[in-house]
Amino acid sequence: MSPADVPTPRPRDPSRERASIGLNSLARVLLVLGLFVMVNYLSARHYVRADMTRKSLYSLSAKTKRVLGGLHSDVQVDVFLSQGDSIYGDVKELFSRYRAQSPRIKVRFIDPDLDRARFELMKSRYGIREGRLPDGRTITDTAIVVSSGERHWFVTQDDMVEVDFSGAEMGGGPELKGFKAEGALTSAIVNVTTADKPKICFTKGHGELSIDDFGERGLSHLAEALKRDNYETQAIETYGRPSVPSGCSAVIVAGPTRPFAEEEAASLRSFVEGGGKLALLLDPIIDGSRFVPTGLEGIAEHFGVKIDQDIVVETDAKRLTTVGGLETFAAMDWATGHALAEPFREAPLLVSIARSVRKAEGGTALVTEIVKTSDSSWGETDLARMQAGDEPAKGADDVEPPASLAAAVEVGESERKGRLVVVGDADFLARALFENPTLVNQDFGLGIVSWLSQRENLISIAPKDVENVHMNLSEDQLFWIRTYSVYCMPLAALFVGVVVWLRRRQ
Amino acid sequence: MRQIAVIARRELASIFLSPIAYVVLVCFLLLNGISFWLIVTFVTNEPAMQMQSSPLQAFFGGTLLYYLPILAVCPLITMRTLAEEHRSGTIETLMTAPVRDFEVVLGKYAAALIFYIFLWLPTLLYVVLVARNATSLDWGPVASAYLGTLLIGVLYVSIGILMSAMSKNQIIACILTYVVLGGLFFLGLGEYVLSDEWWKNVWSHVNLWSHMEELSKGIVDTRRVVYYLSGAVAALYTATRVVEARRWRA
Repeated sequence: MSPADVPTPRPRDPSRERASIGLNSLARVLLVLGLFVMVNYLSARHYVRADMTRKSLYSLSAKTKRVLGGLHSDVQVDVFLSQGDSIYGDVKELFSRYRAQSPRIKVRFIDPDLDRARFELMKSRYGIREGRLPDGRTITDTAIVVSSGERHWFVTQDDMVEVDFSGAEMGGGPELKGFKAEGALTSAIVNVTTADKPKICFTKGHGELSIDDFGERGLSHLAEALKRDNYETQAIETYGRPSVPSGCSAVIVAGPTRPFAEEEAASLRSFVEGGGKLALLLDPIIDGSRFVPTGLEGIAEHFGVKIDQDIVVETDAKRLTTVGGLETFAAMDWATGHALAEPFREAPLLVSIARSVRKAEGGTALVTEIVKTSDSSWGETDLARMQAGDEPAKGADDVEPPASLAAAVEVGESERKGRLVVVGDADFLARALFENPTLVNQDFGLGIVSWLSQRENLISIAPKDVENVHMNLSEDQLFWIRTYSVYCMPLAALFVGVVVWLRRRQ
Repeated sequence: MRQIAVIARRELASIFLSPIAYVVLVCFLLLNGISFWLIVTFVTNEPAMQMQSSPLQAFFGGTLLYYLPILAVCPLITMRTLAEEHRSGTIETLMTAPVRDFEVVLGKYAAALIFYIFLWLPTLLYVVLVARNATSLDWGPVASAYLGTLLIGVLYVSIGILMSAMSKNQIIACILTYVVLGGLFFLGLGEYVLSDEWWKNVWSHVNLWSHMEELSKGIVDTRRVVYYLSGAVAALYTATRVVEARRWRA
């Protein structure tokens, strides 16, 4: 091959080369921007939220996580709050947590002022009523509608916040005490995704706490809470009836003050044996200086639970209240591994004049002691001694500590197992204790019904206290804060700057 | 890595020796000091406000006075970085040195970010003042509020570096950064104005205000972390390509 035949390289075209490099760079930048969009799109669909507050104020409860984890259908949530509303931010934040937990939750915020057309549509669909505030904002009787398929549930602002009006007498305004929206919303989600509506029957005729009574000894608040959780409630007579009325998913005997007849007890016993669910909430009945049996102790014993004729006394000062005696105290030692006790851990259940309820010796049923008192307590059996006002001391016949206050039993081997809960107290359901957010009385009360109805995921959620940081500063303190932050710090920076500038000049 | 540290150190030295850094620091501390003092006074005189937020929660993102210094300061910190090298011609020297383009960009970025963090350090005194005078202070939200402030810096400083890389003049770089950062800030506020759910979600993704509302409460959301970090990576990558382009265009 002669040198003339060797192909000469084509001369390089610098402008073509630059264009090629430029295009290559541009393509790479576009690729990175595309990646940026894609990563953010994915992160918006699958995200996690960490709560760094001391009291886990922004974490979902285990119950809500369980409910959301078990969703099989989409749940649509329509929020009718205007952006100026005081709880708008909190509700929005709460739904971010729900959405982070389950993609089944679809949330639409419909501002009644800004998004008028959509609001009108929803208003006529759900029959929402509206009004105007003095500042011109629209206010609605329903804050949130939760729906799934054909079922829907309304949540009001009152369902979501607890307001303290105690300062009103001193001329102060209402104060936000707690935020309980999670309980209301999770219950609403359960309501619209659960088809059945169990009927809870409360016995009457023996001086029991009544669901129709709005007074101190009433249980109207419990009935209201149960209705919100999609239960039906009904008061039933057991006297003269051979069996529990059909349709009762569970029967609750709450604090009878007169004994049950043998036939009544027998009908309740066969109800449980037939797969029924029963809760016995039994305060001690006292006649003069002796305990009177309620007539139901035999049923409990038959299923492996011994109800003692005593009054539990607590001497651990940390568990006593400032107003009650040794018989009014907080029980905090919950069983582990039982659905009825698991949500509460070391939370306080306040009881008053309770009797001990424990696993009977030699029983074969599956009995779990749910909550116990401390080692500084016992079951006082000598009523005369207590009434005499003697110095409290454990006697030889007293029930040994720690005293169990509640037991849960599963009866039978078949698929339709009976369930029985025995609590040695009914006063824990009293309105004042039930509505106290620092106690778990409400949660435990509703939890019993949920466990009996085999709807464990409907155990109620206690409201979250609002974290308040109070700063009551004197004029002097304000002066020093202003001096430090407005004058000292900028002047110090200026001084350093001047020194640096002078040194550079030198 | 060593090259990045060398460039960052050189850049930091030039920042701390320039009077503009101290002017920025004084203005920044003055604005934040006034903001903090106003919030503390308001919370003390209006006890009902304590229900809504603690003074530090209000300070970190509760008022416009938090965002103004950030929006004002980031362009001032970054405008000189690469634009000034172009204007003075020192970029040529830098480019012929045995350093890669990304090392130059990252070195300058690290220096600007360190100065941004330095600006915020004195505000720890506000935390001390609140901790000494308040009934109780939850340190979790304080930590997440500072994390949010850092994340904003990570993104905004990187955008400033990109704008500086794209400009031959530091004033133009500064104006461009103001436009982009201001645009992002106001677009984010669209979340509060728009009613369309899809657009609302898009703008809430970039809404600095709602991000800080969450972070100052103690909520750390992976969406926010991903947005700020990925935004910074994209901006710095683009800045590197721009610097590289100047090399082959020359």
